[in-house]
Amino acid sequence: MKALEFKNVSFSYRKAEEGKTSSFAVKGVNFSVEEGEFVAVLGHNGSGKSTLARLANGLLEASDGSVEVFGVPLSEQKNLFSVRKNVGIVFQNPDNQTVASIVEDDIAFGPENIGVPREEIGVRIEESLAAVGMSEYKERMTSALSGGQKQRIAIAGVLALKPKIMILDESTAMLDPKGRREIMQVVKKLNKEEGMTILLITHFMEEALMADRAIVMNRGEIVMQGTPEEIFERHDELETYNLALPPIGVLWKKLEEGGMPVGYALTPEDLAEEIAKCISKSSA
Amino acid sequence: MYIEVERLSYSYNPTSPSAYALKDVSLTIEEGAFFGIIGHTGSGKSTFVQHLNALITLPTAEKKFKPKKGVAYPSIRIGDFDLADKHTDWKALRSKVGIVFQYPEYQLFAESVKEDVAFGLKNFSQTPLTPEETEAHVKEALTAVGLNYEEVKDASPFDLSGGQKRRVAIAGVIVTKPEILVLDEPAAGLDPLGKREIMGLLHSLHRSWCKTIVIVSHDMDEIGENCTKVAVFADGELKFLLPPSELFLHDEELEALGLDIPTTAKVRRALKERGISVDTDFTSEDFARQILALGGRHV
Repeated sequence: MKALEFKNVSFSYRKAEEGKTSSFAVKGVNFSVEEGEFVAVLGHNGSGKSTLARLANGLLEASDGSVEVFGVPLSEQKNLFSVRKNVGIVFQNPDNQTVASIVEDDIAFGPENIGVPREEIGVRIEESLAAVGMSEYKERMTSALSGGQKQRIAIAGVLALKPKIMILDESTAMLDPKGRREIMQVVKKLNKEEGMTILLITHFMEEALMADRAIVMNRGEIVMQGTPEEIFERHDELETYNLALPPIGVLWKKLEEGGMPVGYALTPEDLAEEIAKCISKSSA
Repeated sequence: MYIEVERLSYSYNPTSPSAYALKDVSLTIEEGAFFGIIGHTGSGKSTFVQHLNALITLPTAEKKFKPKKGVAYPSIRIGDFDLADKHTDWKALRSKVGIVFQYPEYQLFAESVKEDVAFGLKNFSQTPLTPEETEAHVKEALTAVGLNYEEVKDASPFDLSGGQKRRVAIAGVIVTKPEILVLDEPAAGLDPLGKREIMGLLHSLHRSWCKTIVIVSHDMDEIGENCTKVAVFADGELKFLLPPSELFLHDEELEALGLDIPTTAKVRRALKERGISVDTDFTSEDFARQILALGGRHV
């Protein structure tokens, strides 16, 4: 079943001026995400990828085309409320997403707003904190948490609404490497163990590697689609969209350009293996 | 101007002396360095950086300071400035040591780019500047950060893209012509191209504008590629003070401190496990050269 579907969606932040195409943040986008799938959306700053996230749960309304969540179109106002329960978004800045001073109150905020009974809220707090590995922080002050911990609380807050789709809009961009790893582990676990549909919006190539499928955006349009490996193999094309290879890719490229026939590798281990092969071949 | 720090300890809460943000840190940053500071969150690196232009003052520089016998007080000298002396001209120091904080674009506030950049200049100049002088300095600073003065000068800073905003914020600091420029996570939150551009900008400033650059970063690839020397902080202590070529040989100790290592160091280690040893300064350029030389030797 299709969890999310964009049908020829365009969006402009300004009223479209006649004959001007550049004013579109998202332009004629078609794609769908299957239930349980993990899709990464890559693009440089200003490519339209965050607009895509906001269109997917009706924070923004498509100027043209339609967005459907489990077959329900978002264009109709009456559907919005129920659809938003299904599509949770975690944003970039951990400090902008904390609403309460105590962790459990912060997580209760969402369920309270949609009228979940009190006893049920208690259960949901426990479950969502366990899912992000923060159970022991239930009664802590949110202000005393690290960036990575705050983002995990933000994810828990979304989980407490029991969504079917989770969108992460550059949710790791402001974190240190440790915080980034924490978040990616949680996301991976939610996808693999709970079957949560994930739409990960990022400009970190390393993160996109964890996805089943990657979409590359440029100037509001989808310009590449495929498995992360397929995308990275077309690195010359990626660079034309102002996306750079991850450091490991840069190293691989330098070796290849230097005349070493290294096979494509995306982890230090794999690259070392490829190099070892080349060196033993040339000495044989 | 060099930076010389001796015996620097600092606690945010002196009544509980166990909680030191910095413990007995001594180090020198030579003029001309592209210096890196690394350490996980809470390691004391920001506290250290805030001492460099006296946002946090030394105890001996406090107005009410009364010396105790037998106490070795911390000292910081930056060129001719003695930061332990309460008579130091702090304004002059701060115009010579510029600090760009994390996400500096959040600090933009004026109605136009040129007013925003001029703000620090007006506050720091010893004699009032004429509008023409101000404009000349602002123009020079904006050009140095790679922006077209005529295009951006009257724009609202809030209408610019993320990367442009960050450039304007940096221009607002370098406009006083600091000799030392300190940047906390200058590339954080930017996309890979934006990162590359900001690092390129810092190198061009290093060549032409600020003799010494100090960056705080979590990105080990960035540190390995760019820095001439690196200080590693953990739990308020200085653990390492080495050039990257030597520092990243201590991969296991760095990882024990919860720190990452550059990609080149990871590949080097994986090669070592396969019986191939590589001698490198850990920049990707040099690493690739060394590997290619290894492959070629046998051909």
